[in-house]
Amino acid sequence: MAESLIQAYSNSPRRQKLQIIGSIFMAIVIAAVLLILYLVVSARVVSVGRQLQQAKDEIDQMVYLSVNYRNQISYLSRFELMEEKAKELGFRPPYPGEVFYVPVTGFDYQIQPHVESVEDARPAVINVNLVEYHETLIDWIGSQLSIFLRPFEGL
Amino acid sequence: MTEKITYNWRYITIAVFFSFFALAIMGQMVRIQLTVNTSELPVPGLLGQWEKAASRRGLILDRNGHVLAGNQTVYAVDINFEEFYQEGEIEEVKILAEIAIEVFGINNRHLLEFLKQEPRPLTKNITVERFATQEKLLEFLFRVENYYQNMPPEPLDENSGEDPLIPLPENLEVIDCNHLIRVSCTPHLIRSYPENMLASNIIGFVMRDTKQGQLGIEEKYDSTLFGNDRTLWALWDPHKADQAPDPDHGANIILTIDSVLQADVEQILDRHIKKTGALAGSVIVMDPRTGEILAMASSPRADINKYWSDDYINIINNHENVFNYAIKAYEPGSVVKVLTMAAALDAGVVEPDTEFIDEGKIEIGGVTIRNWNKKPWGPQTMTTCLQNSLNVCLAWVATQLESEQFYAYFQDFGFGQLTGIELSGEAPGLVKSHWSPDYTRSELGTNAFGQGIEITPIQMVKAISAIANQGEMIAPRIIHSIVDDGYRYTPPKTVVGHPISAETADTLTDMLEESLQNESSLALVPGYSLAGKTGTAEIYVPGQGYKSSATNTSFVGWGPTDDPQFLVYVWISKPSASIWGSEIAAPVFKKVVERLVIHLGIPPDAVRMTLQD
Repeated sequence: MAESLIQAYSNSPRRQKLQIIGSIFMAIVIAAVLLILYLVVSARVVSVGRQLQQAKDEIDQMVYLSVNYRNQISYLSRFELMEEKAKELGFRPPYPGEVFYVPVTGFDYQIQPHVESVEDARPAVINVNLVEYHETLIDWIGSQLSIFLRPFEGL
Repeated sequence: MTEKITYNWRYITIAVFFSFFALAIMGQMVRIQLTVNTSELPVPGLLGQWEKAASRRGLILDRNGHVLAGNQTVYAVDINFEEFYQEGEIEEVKILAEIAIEVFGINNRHLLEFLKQEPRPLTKNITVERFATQEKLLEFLFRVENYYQNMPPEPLDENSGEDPLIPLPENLEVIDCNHLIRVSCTPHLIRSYPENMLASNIIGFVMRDTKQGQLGIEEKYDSTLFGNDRTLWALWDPHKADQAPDPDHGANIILTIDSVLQADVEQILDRHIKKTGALAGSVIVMDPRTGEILAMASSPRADINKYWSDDYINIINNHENVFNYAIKAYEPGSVVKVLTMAAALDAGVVEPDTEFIDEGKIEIGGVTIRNWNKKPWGPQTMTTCLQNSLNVCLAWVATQLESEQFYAYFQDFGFGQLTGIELSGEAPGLVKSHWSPDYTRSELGTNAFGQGIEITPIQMVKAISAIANQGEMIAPRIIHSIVDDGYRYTPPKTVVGHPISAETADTLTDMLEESLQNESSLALVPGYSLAGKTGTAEIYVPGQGYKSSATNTSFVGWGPTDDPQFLVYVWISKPSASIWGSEIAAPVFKKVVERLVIHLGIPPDAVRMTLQD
């Protein structure tokens, strides 16, 4: 009896139409939510993209600037200028007979100078691995959810 | 029933309305997402722009990190003349062109004609200067702004710095011309050589227009040093920000050269060439234990910052195609006697005290060979043969070896082959062998004392390293390391053969140490044990034969003899003060050794023995 009543209720033409309409609304709402999420993520990507473009411009500017500074340092410390300044200060190259060697026990005079440009020899540490650069929509939703749920952890 | 139908119709109407509304919103979202309003872009109508990454060419540094070749930011200055014409600002165009000509010193005929032409043809952007320095650009902008503000133009004080060679703008920030309408300045990088002429024969240069390395290290390692300043079409779309080009800097190259020693050696060579009225010359300083070239001077040299200057045309583009005399082949003369004697001692055909009666001449293959003074020297040992540099004696020594063995040794010493030094334009030299079609037996005699063969100074240094290094011949190298993206590659020391035994090397070193005491006192440095040999070679003039009035003078020496730490080769070409190697090349050796023992911290033998004990 009860089963036949439920069947009669759900199979009534009005209920069936309401279900269809409800499903359509539900689909629209879900699509709208997804689109809103997409727009939020998209806006974030745009923002990060702009930052990236700006960062690249700044990198270029820094390269030009660093090249200028290095060039200036090289010009100011060039051999010709250094020699001239040394001469002005009264220095001159020594001759072998003017050099006094003092034997120091344990000192190896043949030790070769350690040739290494610290700046160049060190592996470059450049963070090109920005999260936003590789993050998918699902990753982002996951991260946002975890941020949202963080206050409720431990309750 | 009717009421139900009415309700259904209403529901359907509402559903359709909301569906359309939602679809319209979604459609608009998609449209905004996929289409671009080009009028709102930074350059209306364009979806992007050409972008060039600021990639620098790799640096060339000396062994102590001193920059020998760097980069400099310069600007391409463009003026949009079309917009001036469109606005009818003819006077402005004239003034702007005059300022550009004056400040940038424009001497390009076509550009000058264009800038002075009246009425000027309608042309859009004109690049008035492609390589404007910071200083020049600031002056140009200053004068343009002065003009626009109706102020009388005042030139910048160019002598604000102590040295006019040093560009000293007020600041080194990258100049932005965006505030000036119709004038744009685009920064880019060009090669810069802070040391001007120092080691220029080693470095070479980079063509400003093509950015291609020419000569020396710049040419040999062009692809390694090259900074890929690739130009890409970068979209304004921030989603595609990753498409903008990233800088791809070239690798840095560290040379084995010590720039302070290099400067000293160059100074010594230049002064000596001037003093002796010589044509050209070269000095190489090598560590025979590692093959590292510590200095390689060549004269004449060019200021590679101005390689296009008329002053340097003959140095860079001469008919003999010689930019670096250290890698040019020439007839070296008696320095080759060292190697002839090394071969004979190693083969066991002579001993240091083998006696030879010098009669002043010897006939080999129908050609009579005489001594440098055309006189007989009587009874000699092999040591005195070297000491007195007797052609007759050494020609006889070569005949004891016979052609096959003699040329086999010369082959082992690397003559007629490239040494592999990392420099562009190395000559292989020319050494015949007994199976060459045009070989005559007389050449065995002349080759024994360094005539009739062509050898480069760097080949001689490599060959002599076998004697200085107890029979182990080391490949000379000028690259210490290559550093790229945080990784460093250091080529290892390369032993390229054992042409003679350690015993032969020791014996010959003792003979040369002894003979040097008497042969060339001008080469001796008090307190240091040195071995060496002078060389004087007549120069062959086509159609006239060998002329004794024009010679190549050479000297090769190394020390300290018990623990060789340096090997020096000197070549002075066509000196006019004297024709002898003992008077021209030997003093250069002495001066170079005096400087390098201090610079390398090599104490005199007496002190060194104390330290070693």
